[in-house]
Amino acid sequence: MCMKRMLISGNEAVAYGAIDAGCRFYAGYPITPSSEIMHMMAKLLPEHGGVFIQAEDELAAINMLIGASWAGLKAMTATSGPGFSLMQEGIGYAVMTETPLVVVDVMRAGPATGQATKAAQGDLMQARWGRHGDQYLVVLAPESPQEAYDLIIEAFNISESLRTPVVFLSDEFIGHGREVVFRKDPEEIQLVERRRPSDHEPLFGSDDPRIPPPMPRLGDGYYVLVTGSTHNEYGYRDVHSFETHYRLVKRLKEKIWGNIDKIFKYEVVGDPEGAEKAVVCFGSTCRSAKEAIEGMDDVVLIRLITLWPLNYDLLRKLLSNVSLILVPELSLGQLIYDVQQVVDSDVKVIGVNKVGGGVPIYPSEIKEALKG
Amino acid sequence: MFSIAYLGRGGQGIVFAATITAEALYEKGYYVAQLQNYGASVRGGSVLGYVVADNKPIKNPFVEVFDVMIALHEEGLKRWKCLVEKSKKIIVDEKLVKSEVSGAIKVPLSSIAEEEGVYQALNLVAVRLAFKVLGITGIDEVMDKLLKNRKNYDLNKKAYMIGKEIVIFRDFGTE
Repeated sequence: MCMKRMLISGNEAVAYGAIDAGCRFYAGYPITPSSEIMHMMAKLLPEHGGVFIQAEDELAAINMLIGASWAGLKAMTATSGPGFSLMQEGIGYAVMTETPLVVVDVMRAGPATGQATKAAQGDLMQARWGRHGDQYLVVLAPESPQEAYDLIIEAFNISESLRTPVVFLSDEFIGHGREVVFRKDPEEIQLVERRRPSDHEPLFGSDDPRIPPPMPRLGDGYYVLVTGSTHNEYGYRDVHSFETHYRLVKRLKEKIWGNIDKIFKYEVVGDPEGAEKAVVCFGSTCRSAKEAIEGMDDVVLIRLITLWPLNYDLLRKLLSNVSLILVPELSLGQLIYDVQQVVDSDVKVIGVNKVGGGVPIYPSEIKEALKG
Repeated sequence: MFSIAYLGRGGQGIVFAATITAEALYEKGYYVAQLQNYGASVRGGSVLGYVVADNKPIKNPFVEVFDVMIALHEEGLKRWKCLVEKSKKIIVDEKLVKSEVSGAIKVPLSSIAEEEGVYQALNLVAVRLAFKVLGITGIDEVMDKLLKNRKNYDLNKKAYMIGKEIVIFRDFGTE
């Protein structure tokens, strides 16, 4: 084992991770606080035989990703809130056409232009629900530059194995924070590649919805129509019948939720059996929370690494013994709704909310809130 | 674990001070975390840059109490009052920080830098002073290498070494 030690930002870590995951296409439009990902990809991709394009805007970028992915490349873009909003239509198209790609959203304070240089976690709901229609994808969130590196590789693996877009929710603290990151040796990294079709397999359907259909490359010789309109298992448009549409969206939903055991990642600090209080968090905020609960035997911390699909049953089980739950978020509160959903009404669920100005939630604030 | 914070105004090189501090400590073998808070403009507005260093991986970079904070401008002070007040050692520039900060030591950093013709590199005077106040030794060689890789080596090096000469007559545990 020979890991390379580097002092880099979370944004740079994402770029290195993407390269190590086999990403060979990047299209994007610069936006604070995500731009360093683009700078790094512009430098790294040509060195690795990949393609880098600075697109004219975010709409073009996301659509270029779809084309590149169908051409057989692992593709990524990075943006922040305003650009993420612009990409939603394309991401929805990628869900419908089952196009693997990774979209990094380095969250800043919003809505609209908001505060470009200040961290926030307010894009959680948009990452899950930003598209119209019945659509499901995967949302992951790292807590540090090191995890940004490790988890982006996982994001590509999930994207490839399920033929789905994956949204990667970073934030300004992670993106611009520079820390010591260990880059893995290529031999240490397990990569997943999308399955290619054998002769007559349907390319948009499977008997078991949990198993995604195979995906050919454009130019491989398959007669395939890639369409955002409702289509049957062979890709033929059917914009009339109930059965085809229902079967398609049901399968696309099942493809994500039916694989929850494989996708759902989380970390537990402390003992959920013995704890009376809990902290539920995601992203950089968890680092303050972990410091806050050090030495507190009656508190359990649950850090959600996968934010979507969310394993509600597991969360319910982990929180079944506590009477007070804190949900610290760099927003006015979005994750808190999930927590409220899984506990009885007599459990006190308190949000610790702070957003704007680039001020983190400090351990002392969580300690104070834990007093109830 | 120890932490160093620089506070000032956009254009003073506060982020660079934090960047090079982090790099020097990293080269010395520490685990480091560097964070900064700044606005969208290139000049003006408050800027906070800080570094946390430890012999083991850093669990939480969101520090509330800094071991040393050096404030080079009034602008940042007001905004980060809560952090300034909690800092264990606070050094403020005598001329550029006009308000009274309780417990702070006033040092004529900018006046000295101006006299010596290195006002542009005031940030590096602060970096060396921070190392000195925290008693971090054997770091000049590393810094020299880092400065050599960048523009304006002579100016930066001169400013950096001035920081070493500044003597603070207070129980600050200097080198």
